[in-house]
Amino acid sequence: MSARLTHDGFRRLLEQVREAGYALVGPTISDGAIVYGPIAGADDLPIGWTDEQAPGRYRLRERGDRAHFGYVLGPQGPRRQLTPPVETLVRIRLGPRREQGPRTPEGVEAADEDGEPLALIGLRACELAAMAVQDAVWTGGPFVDPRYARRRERALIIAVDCLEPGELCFCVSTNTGPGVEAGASFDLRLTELGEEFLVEVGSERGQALIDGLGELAEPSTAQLFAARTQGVLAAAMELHGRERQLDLDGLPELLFANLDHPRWDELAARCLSCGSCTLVCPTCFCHRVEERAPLDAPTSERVRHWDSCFTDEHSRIHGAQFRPQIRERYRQWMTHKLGAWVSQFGTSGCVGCGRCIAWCPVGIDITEEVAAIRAAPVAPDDAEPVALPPATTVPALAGDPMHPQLARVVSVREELREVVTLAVEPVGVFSHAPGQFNMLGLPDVGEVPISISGQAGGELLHTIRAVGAASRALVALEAGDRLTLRGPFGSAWPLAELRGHNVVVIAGGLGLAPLRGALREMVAHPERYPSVRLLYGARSPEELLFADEILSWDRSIRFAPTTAPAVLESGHVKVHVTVDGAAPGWTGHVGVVTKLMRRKPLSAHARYLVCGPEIMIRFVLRELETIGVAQDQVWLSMERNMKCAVGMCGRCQYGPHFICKDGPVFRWDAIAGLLGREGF
Amino acid sequence: MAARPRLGVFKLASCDGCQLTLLDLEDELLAIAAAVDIVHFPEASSDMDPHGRFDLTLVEGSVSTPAQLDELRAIRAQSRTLVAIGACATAGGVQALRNFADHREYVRAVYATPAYIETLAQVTPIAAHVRVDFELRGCPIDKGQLLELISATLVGRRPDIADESVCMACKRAGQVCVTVAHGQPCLGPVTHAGCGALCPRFSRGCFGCYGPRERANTEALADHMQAEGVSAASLVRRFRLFTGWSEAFRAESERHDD
Amino acid sequence: MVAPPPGKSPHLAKLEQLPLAEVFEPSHLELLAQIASQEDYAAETTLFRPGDEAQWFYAVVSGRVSLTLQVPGRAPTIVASLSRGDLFGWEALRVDSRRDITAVASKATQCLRCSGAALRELCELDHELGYRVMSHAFDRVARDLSDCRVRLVDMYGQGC
Ligand SMILES: Cc1cc2nc3c(=O)[nH]c(=O)nc-3n(C[C@H](O)[C@H](O)[C@H](O)COP(=O)(O)OP(=O)(O)OC[C@H]3O[C@@H](n4cnc5c(N)ncnc54)[C@H](O)[C@@H]3O)c2cc1C
Ligand code: SF4
Ligand code: SF4
Ligand code: SF4
Ligand code: FES
Repeated sequence: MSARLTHDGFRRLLEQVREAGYALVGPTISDGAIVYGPIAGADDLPIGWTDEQAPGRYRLRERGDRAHFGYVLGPQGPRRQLTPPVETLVRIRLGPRREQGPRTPEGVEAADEDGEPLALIGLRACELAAMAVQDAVWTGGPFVDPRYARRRERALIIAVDCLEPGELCFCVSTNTGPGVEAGASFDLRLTELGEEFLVEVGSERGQALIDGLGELAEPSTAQLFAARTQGVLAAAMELHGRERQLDLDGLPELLFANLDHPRWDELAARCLSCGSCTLVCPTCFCHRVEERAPLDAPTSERVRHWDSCFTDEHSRIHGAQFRPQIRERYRQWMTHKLGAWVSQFGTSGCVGCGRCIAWCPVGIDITEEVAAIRAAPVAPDDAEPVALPPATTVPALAGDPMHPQLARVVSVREELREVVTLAVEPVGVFSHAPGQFNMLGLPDVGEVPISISGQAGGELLHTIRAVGAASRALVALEAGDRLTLRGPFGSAWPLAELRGHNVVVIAGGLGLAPLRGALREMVAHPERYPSVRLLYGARSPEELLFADEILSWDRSIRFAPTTAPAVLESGHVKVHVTVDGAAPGWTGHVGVVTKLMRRKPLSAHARYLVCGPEIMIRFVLRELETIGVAQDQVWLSMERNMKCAVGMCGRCQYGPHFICKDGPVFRWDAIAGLLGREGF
Repeated sequence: MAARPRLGVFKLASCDGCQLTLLDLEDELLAIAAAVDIVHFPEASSDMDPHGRFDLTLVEGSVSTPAQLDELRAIRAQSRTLVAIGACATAGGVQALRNFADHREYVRAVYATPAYIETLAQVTPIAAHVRVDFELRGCPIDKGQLLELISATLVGRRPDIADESVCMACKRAGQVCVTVAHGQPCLGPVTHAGCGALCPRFSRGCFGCYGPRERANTEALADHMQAEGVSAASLVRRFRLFTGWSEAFRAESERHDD
Repeated sequence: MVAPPPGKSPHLAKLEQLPLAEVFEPSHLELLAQIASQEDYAAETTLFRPGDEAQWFYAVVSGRVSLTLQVPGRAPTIVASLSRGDLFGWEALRVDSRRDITAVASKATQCLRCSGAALRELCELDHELGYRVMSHAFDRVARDLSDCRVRLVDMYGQGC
């Protein structure tokens, strides 16, 4: 249904919205810009004002009329309202302070405070498109963020057609404007025509509001035609005629084929890596998750706040920096926004709003940068092309994926120096597949990803090495202590696919832990896995993980210290162990695991599972390549940093992948083009 | 029961502003005092034991005399975690500005001055002399960050104090960019966050109190400012404030100073 | 070109079964077999120690040999283990060189060995053979070097 609304009718409309219990959020002038903020009513709108935009420049100007929506776009879209820049996820009640080390959790409470629902007023077509993009991020995958979902679902949306697009807009390129399409997600759509509005109803909620206004004039066909066809079309035609366009055709492939383009270096000389572009962009979603645990507080909070791929923290992984250079950070932004996004969420991450151009303090223009690369792509080099993955499907998790449960440590087994296996009892039924991981945490130090190294009855095993604050605290836990647990997350070893094949498992150091579940399965089922070989390397005989268990799998091997007798005779399993160095008396192999690989006749037709430190994985793959093993026969686990583990924080991005949900177990061909590559 | 952690607070050449921040923590300080033994706290008390080992040591101020250098080395030797707090300790502070003058004199009389005297003729941040585990930036430091630093260090976690641009703080706060919307020169893009975007909130460009962030691309920012009409002399002044002696800002101001 | 002597060496068959046989012509293998001798070592036998004159060059036929580094004041460490097909005792390829490591048979082990001097002489006489020996040796040493580099980064270090 459509109707005509005078300025006064519009004022009454907003009053109604308020009375219906919504908090009004609309455009209003603040600090010399038109921003979305709380408004009391129509009077707070920037009536008679417009904005002028250029790269790195934004100014307000009086229009000389009474246009309510006569401006284009402010610095930030409704992303701010739907995913606040700082947001508490959960509150954790803390146990007493201990002599040293972090406190343990005693209770977890959801932190979502349900305020008034929001009425978002004045959203443009590109902003609705951006919301659709964010919907895909926060609610479209296997995990749903209930905070976003709830705000989004409750929000009333009053959209506005753009009849006078701004200088930096290029929504016709991205097919996201300038008119608000009939099918878009709005409750009411306004088209501002001189002193009145045309209103189009998009939902029952919208209809009720319009009904509440009493008798309204209905627009004539000629008026509708003037507004929708002439107004919007004219705006679109004007945009089409402009120089600033973004050619999306084949863009992901183009960008990933040009990872070494000289333009990135040239950009690095201009870009300040300030992060402004990402925080004004209406589709970016990266954030950090941190613990707020002041000494004196009885509760700690797990808080998320906006982050950006331009910060040091974003690509810092426990002391290592994976994107130290500005060129790599700009490349991340552009290849994600315009490239990987398409394979991750089925849509480009750009809606053509031009904000990143206006609000870049040095006026860098993303459309110009793309055009420069498109105009002179570098010839494909020898480097393996980066494959753009199909969207992955990890098992969905019901409920709030950021809300941890309190699990109890049932027992602690000391495996090696500074390495323990925590047997943890989760609440309720817990099923996982070998290769998956949990986020284990303590409120004072935060959460870290730890693989599930086995399941014994109702207990989940986690084998942890103390390397830093969080892992050290976990290793120090005692039976009876509680910890926070979220999971299981991530991809698993492809056990079903391995059936009937000869399997070779290559592990280094603690890399055996994520493989143990899979190995146990294969050891127990000779009928499914006719031959299983484990090549395992560790620093020294004392650093061999699960030594007793390994011995039980293959009775023919002997290495000091030989302890437990074999419990399981499994002729189909063969174990080879090598160490970097050993005391005299050791009769096993000494040398790196790759040397061991050269020693054992490995088949080009077997299936391979590889886990260990990244550097080891790379050397192992090189060796497999020489043997002639095809990339689709090899799976490996990439254990990089994570924050959310559910594909929402953006921290674990590895080229086009989220390691947390596309991985950690990847088939080699999926990431072959990225391994060892600078800046990834 | 194991001894409670000892928190040491020391002051070299500075204005005391940062220690005042610690005092300003009032309520929180009580919690800190309940959890740790605060030792050698010249601003709060004068008769505390300055000797022995410290689990966490906060050092305020820059090094400008040989005595301070000796004191600093002794402090380092007694400290498990040593944190430099404030612009003076992390970048030399305002007093380091005289280095620019000394620097030129030094060039003129290269052989006239014994090098070791020259070293102390310069005001230097403490990281120039001893290993520093963490730098808490600011002039003065931020109360919330100080509290986070102490809480985090005492449980062995890395403090949640990100080395990122002031722009990040502006954008999170919903602060409109003063450069883009008002044409104000602003050091925010190259400056370490932590102040909560104080100056932009008052419609002023950032003065760089917290010093350079990692990867501070000062050259690109200065070039852009110059293209927008900021004079070389003004650029020198901008980069030569509280943290003007930090490497990135010093190099940038020198680039425009001739 | 040196012609293989009449009458085959009893070690030829053993030599032919080692992986290194692939890189040599049959006539070369025969020559090598002529200068080789077979040695059997009981477990724990020390083959050489640091400071010894580097006389022999070895190929492992079966069993295992550990190369152990002794650093004063530290526990001795096995830094490499050699099994079937591995070559060791490279020093013998150089004139007048000495051992800098201890080689111990860590279990009952059989080796073929030849004197470094004889091998060098053979290589001089037959450059084709010499080239094969040296390039094979280079290949093995290069791999060892690459393995050593990998070890430098402490592969199994932290993390998982
Ligand atoms: C999917 C996945 C599964 C994992 N499974 C296990 C597991 O089963 N057992 C286990 O012990 N760990 C596992 N890890 C690694 C573990 O998450 C990290 O060790 C942990 O996050 C470190 O946090 P921290 O606060 O203790 O250390 P930090 O204080 O953050 O780091 C301390 C130091 O440890 C080193 N370090 C930390 N993490 C890594 C890493 N991932 N790789 C290399 N060096 C690192 C860094 O050099 C750093 O200087 C896994 C990681 C991932 C992503
Ligand atoms: S990339 Fe730039 S133009 Fe595209 S949606 Fe983001 S801010 Fe707007
Ligand atoms: S990684 Fe992607 S979503 Fe995250 S800040 Fe960068 S461009 Fe935005
Ligand atoms: S492109 Fe511009 S806004 Fe984005 S990080 Fe670089 S300088 Fe900042
Ligand atoms: S996206 Fe957050 S850890 Fe992967």
